[in-house]
Amino acid sequence: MAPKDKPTSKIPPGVVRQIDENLKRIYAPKLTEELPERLQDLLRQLRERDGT
Amino acid sequence: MMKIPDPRDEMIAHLPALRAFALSLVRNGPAADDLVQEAILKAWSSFDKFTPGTNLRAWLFTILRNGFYSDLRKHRREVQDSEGQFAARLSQKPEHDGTLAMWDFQRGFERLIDEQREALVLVGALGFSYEEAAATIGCAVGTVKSRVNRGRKRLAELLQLEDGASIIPADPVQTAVTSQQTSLNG
Repeated sequence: MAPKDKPTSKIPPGVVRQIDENLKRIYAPKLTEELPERLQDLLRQLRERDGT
Repeated sequence: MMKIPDPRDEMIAHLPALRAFALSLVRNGPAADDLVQEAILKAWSSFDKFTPGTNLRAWLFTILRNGFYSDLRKHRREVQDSEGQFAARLSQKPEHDGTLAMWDFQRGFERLIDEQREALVLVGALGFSYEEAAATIGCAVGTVKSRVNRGRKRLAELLQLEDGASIIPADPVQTAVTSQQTSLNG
């Protein structure tokens, strides 16, 4: 293990919060936007093919 | 009578998060959707192997990440940017407004190794439990915890984050207000 790796040392809670809030902000748009046309088409085709 | 839900229907609900996860792995929208498309096709042809009642989300995410890592083995990417160049750009930014902070954050996040990035996205951004993330990745729960912890530490170092001295507003209400102001002013 590299000397700078200290997995047991605590990260300040405020830093953890900042990081997680920013992660959520990066990916939030993907969670709310509609599926792109190509994926909707693909699902339609699969369903039609299988008759489901 | 209770009907067993068809995983084909259930899968739809997981696709937005699956797209977010794909984006975290490949870092550009069209390539992310290629990965999702590939995962949908693989899942569709393997639903007979899925055990109803088990975790469909973890199953789908596993299919997607297997596809990603198998592509990655074929085309190994190299990060060209050096530590020094990254640090220099950080110190050159003119203002610590929300937009620039977000830009820095994303660049810093992209510098994490794949294993740390995916663990952080699953747990930090998409709300997976450590157990669910471990099932998705196919590793021990302790390994996920360690990757999340190391990823956060690395980001804190890269972005020089300190407790109480944020480059971005830490308070959620303030964050929302600031991001609105940024978009209004920007």
